[in-house]
Amino acid sequence: MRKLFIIIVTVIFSSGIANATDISVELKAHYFHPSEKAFRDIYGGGMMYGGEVSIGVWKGLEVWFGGSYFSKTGELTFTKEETKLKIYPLGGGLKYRLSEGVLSFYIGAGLNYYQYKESNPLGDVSKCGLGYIGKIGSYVKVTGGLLVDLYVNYSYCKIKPADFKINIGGIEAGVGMGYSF
Amino acid sequence: MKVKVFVILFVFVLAFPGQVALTKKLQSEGKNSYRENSVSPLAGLVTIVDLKLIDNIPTIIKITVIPGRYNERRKNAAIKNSSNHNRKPQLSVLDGAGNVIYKTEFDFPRLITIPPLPPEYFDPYTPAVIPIEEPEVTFILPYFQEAAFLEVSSSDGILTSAMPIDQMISPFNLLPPEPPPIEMGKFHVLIMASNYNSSNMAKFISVANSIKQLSLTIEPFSTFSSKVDIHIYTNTADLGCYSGCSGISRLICCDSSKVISAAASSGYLYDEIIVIHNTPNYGGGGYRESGDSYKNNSYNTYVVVYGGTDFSIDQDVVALHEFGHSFGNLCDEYFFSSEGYIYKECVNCRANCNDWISITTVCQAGCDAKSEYFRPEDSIMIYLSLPYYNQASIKATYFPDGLEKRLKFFVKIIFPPMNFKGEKVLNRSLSQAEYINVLSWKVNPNNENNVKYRIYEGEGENKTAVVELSADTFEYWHRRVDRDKQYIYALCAVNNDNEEGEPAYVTVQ
Repeated sequence: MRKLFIIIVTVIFSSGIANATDISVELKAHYFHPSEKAFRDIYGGGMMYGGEVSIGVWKGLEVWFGGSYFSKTGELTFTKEETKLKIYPLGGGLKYRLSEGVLSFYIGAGLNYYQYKESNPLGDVSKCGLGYIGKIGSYVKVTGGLLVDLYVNYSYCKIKPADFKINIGGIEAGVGMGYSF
Repeated sequence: MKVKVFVILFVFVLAFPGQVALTKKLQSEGKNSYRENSVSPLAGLVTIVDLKLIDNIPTIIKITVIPGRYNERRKNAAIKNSSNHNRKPQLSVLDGAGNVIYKTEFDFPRLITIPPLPPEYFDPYTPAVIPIEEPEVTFILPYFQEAAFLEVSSSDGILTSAMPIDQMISPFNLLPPEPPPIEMGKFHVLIMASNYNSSNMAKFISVANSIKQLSLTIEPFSTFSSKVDIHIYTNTADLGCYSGCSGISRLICCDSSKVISAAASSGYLYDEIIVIHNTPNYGGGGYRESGDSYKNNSYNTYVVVYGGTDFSIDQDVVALHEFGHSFGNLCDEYFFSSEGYIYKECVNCRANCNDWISITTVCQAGCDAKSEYFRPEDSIMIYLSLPYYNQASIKATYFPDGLEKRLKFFVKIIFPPMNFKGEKVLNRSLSQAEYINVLSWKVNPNNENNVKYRIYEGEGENKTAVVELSADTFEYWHRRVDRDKQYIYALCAVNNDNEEGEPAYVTVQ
């Protein structure tokens, strides 16, 4: 994770072409559909909220940093006792704008650092893990610097909290409201 | 009735003015309290109380203290098992301060049954059962050093008789009998010799053994054979037995006081008594209690059977027939043209057959108890050649209870719960998991006083308690078990005396 951060920062500041007009900030909300069936059985999907900063580095290429938050209450599979889950993904990566105009499509990829907390009668677990994320979406310029971001993400992160592995990633589809400087 | 009670009390006042004054004084002060649990009886001695129903008033005739064994079960059963079907007279032991230290309900046997003859000797003139003109009953009570006098009250709670316990008796001169091995959770039958001596005692033992053998091979006793103990007592004391009782040649009667006293001093535990009287003439007799009195004092109604071989009728079948009367309170099932006695409720002769419809569909007209009554299938209660009781006599759960229900009262068999199953399931959250052995079972309908369940892990001596659950619980989750370990569970029903039944087992892989 530390390496990733250094790489991104190095890319940004060594490029020498970043300027204020290449930066956009947005708040995002999306529906998270977990890939893992057990995840879906226990918690189901749910809304995830977060924010993202993108910085243009070269032509259509941007560096992005973002974080989000997922919290859900579910039931243990047999006893149906209450269980609570919180996931905090923090990450960054690259985005490439495929077109310019009112609609600006992009694709992207990056790495996420997942902070994971679960508590229930079986105990409390706090774990972290590294995963990856792929992005596809489109900015819609509204007026001035205001923009709307429509996107779909796919994330993947396998952690092993017990004697089994779980994937805490999944598909995210949502919308962001941002401002491009 | 009130005049008679007054007369008896008046006589008692004249005889024991001090005691009556004391009783009245204490009763008026509200001190006639029940404190049975605070006084312990003296082991190895018993109090024998002879009672008689004189002009329908229960009256104490005699009190003696002898070496003997008191069956604690009778104490436990004494009051708590009284049914509301009909209130019974009560017998109370009081200390010098007027506190009741022991009390029990009781009843008098009202009928004595006469053994049937083989069909070829049909005797239409002798009834199968006759009422007892002046019913007598003999009780064995625990001996309390603190006991000062006994009181008897009628079924409507009126004091009818009282007598001081002779404190001149020196109980410490009486040696307790050597106790035989005891097993309280069993039904005990005592077979006693009458009119035998050392030269012919072997014959008694032979007859007693044949009765014992037959008893344990017929239902319901065969099913519970491990819970039925039949003791053979080579008594040589006179029991006052004689043939020709009440002018009926085949009716054998005994002196109840002597029978009960001899049984008490035998040292054996017993719930029923069978007396084998050494006479060559065919005969016997059985005392029928009323209702469900067996719960309080089953031993009061005993069976007498002859020791000879008249009519080629074996004593064992006669004994079992009479035992059906004495223990099961069963009626004779054969038809007799002129009853001449009052019907006493029994499970095998009823006004209609609906009572046993769930047990048997057999419904035959004619029953000696009442000619217009009905009986189920043929059994030993109609023909001595059929050495078994019918299903209604065995299985009846209606008043006054069939043989099996009566037997279960004594042996307190606690059956294993039914359909005991177990499976290992995974219980997980997203990041944590446990395995649970899910155990489930069903209530055993044969258990009447099931108050809880206990679950053990393991078998035999190596089992450890897992949990205790209420009687309305039928599932248990044994959590956080090892995924790869095999578990063996034992599930026991527990009754209201905290006695545990046979376990049901399940293995969970």
